Amino acid sequence: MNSSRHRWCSKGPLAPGGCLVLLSLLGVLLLPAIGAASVEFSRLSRPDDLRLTVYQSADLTLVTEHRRVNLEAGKNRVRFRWQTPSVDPSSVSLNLDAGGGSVRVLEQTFPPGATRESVWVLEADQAGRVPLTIHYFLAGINVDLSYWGTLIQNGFEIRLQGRADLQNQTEQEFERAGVTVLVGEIQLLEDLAQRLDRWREFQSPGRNDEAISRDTGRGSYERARAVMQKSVAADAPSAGAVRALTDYWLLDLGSGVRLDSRSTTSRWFLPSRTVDVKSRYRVHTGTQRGTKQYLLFTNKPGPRGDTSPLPEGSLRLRYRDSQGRLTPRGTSQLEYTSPGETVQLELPVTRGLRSESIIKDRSHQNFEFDERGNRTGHDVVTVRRTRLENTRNRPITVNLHHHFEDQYWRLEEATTPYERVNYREVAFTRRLDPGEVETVTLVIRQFEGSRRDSS
Amino acid sequence: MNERSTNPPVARFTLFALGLLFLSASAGWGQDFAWVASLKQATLSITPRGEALVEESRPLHLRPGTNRVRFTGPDVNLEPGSLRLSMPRSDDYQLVESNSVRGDNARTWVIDSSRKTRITARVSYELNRVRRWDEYRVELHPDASHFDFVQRVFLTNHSGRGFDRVWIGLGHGYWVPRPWPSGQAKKLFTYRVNEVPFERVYRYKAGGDAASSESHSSPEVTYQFANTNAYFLGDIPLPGGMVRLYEPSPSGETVFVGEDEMSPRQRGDSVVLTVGRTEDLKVDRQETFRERFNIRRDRSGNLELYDRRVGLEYRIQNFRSDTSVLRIRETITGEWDLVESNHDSRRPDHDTLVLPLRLGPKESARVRVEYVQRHLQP
Repeated sequence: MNSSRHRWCSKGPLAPGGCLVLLSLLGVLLLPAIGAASVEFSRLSRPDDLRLTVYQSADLTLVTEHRRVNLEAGKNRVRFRWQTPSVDPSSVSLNLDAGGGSVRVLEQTFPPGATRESVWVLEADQAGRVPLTIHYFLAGINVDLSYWGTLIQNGFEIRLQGRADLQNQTEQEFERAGVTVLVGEIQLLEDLAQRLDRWREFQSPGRNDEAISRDTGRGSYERARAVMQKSVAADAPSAGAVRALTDYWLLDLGSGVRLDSRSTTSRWFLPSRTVDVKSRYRVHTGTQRGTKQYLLFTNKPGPRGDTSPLPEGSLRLRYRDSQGRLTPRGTSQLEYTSPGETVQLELPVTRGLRSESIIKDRSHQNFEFDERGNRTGHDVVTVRRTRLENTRNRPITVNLHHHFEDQYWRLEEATTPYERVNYREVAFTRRLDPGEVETVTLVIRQFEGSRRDSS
Repeated sequence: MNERSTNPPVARFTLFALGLLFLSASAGWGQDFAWVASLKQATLSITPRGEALVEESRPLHLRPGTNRVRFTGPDVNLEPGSLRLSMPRSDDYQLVESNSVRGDNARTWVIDSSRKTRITARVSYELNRVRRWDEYRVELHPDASHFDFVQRVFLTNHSGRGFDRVWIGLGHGYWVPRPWPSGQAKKLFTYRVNEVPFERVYRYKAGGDAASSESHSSPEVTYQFANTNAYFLGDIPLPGGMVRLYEPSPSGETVFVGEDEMSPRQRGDSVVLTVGRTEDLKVDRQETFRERFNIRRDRSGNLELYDRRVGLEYRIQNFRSDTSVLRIRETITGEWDLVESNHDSRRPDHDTLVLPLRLGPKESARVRVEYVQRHLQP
């Protein structure tokens, strides 16, 4: 309504100043009559194409709507409204597509009191139908990437499939949307709730913040997050194409995706791919202890030569034996794996290696004393013995890592060659035949007190 | 809906003007009021800090003798002490007095005129509750070597003063005429530069007092350019604000790829924007040795000072299909000297060692560094 008055005064036969003189002479009786004038907006078409780019690393979705609008020659007002409070109004922007060259965006306004509406003023050289793109950020659509990994061929191969679960926690439904997932860690200085807070603070006059917040703000957004109830299992096939940006990757989940409000839709992002795997064991002794089993495989190009990363996600592991029976092997976490990179997938349960590490002997040597006879330093000599036994019916590779508390040590004797990983860690690599037992013995000298001077 | 925005801006503007017209012609104020015609032109200059200065040009009809001009805006949130009247210099009239009442958005100016005349006076005042928020949109080109740089300014006006048409100035010669009802937020597109070249540099930061013997992390993605002519910028100082980066996907869609806060940049200043991390360039940093030597003790045998020799090794793998520029920034505290490095290095400041690398597609590298820290205390 404010805009209508504004339009009437600026477009009327009288200049603004004259308009005011008239108002002052006729008094306030004229004001309601002015208010009765209506604002004309150019009509936006329904989206010809709707795309959602969902960010894996943040609660953020970039919505892209391709629309058209009929414009008259001269200035036009185009109004855009959205349904959900989790849209960041400051992110709502309009881009003129190719063919809109004779049209200029003069300004974008946010009418007072309207929290889900924005108006653009466009100036067109001539009347016509103009294609345009509207972008905005939205919170409440999250993606969860997960894998199904089936060990086959007696555990020498793994068949991988990747699934994306899209959770729409907003009040808005999306039909026939093209959905892509951006894989990678983008920097966001504030999350969308903070953006909304900032926008409300910016747009509010400064004394009615609380009322506005109750009406449209974060509270309702949080409620929307909390009431997700329905879960739709829609294991529909999808394109699974992966496209590269400069530093990130886009997983294409296909077009025509329907995202109902407060529901989950699932799409495959990685078609079934079979790769060779190796088993590797890592035994930690010293200040870190434990035995872990890993599956090693390389993220090689697919059958069509396509290279793509494996995004971070949980992996449900199963084993299919030679009889075709399927048994679960727990869930692991797959870290982001670049194209060509070798994955080390830590398994939840270690099978096939029995290990035991004991301190066989410990003695103190080389005591040093000060002038008063107080002890200032000494050496601790430890004999550590680690027994490794391969209980599988195939050869295995074991990495034995010994961890030290500090840098004041010397490995005086080792029964096998070793590699110094860093100043607090050494590693031994052993290959054990089926049933083979090997004992690795280390003689470690650690320096204490003034003996560290000579370490 | 707030109280101010329910009040129609034109009505408020009218009241504001009526205050001028009615009160100036009011019999209650005697016969000595000047006739003030309606607003001729208004300008509103808003600084990046949100300081908003209005200047109104109003025709003023002066009569011989003493004239009074009263300016009032009952619903307008203006800075009372900022109200000022200025008139063209002339010997025919003179501003002799300026009166205000505490707590009242009104001021009365007393003008002595020797003859009947018509002039254009300017009234200026500062508005409160006008806010400004600067943002930048950076649109990468498909060749990934240039971008378009667009400044966008968000404005809100909760001053209570609405404008049918006001020239909005945002600094450095940018003036644009726009209607601006009170309560409205507005986004203006103020500054655009196309084809800005830039350098994309990956930055890996490590070291410092809390450095551990090993670390693995993904390097930061930075975009580097400068507010200079060499980058087709440098016309104006750039106000600080959020910078959002967009990149076209292979299918032509625009994708948001990160944001950073840019502090105000003067002409000639360089800009480094960090927008995220790359996962396809891996750096594995290991501290291979750490040895004490040149140990100094007091007479009681207590350790006083020592020197330390430290070895570092970085194993870098570029899984990307293009050449990548990586800068490793190692923070080393205290007195230190570089003893050995199998790679080019520089020391931009006392606490920083920088190792610049250029890795081809799928290339890997192993960089070793040895330095000595002196006079360390236990």
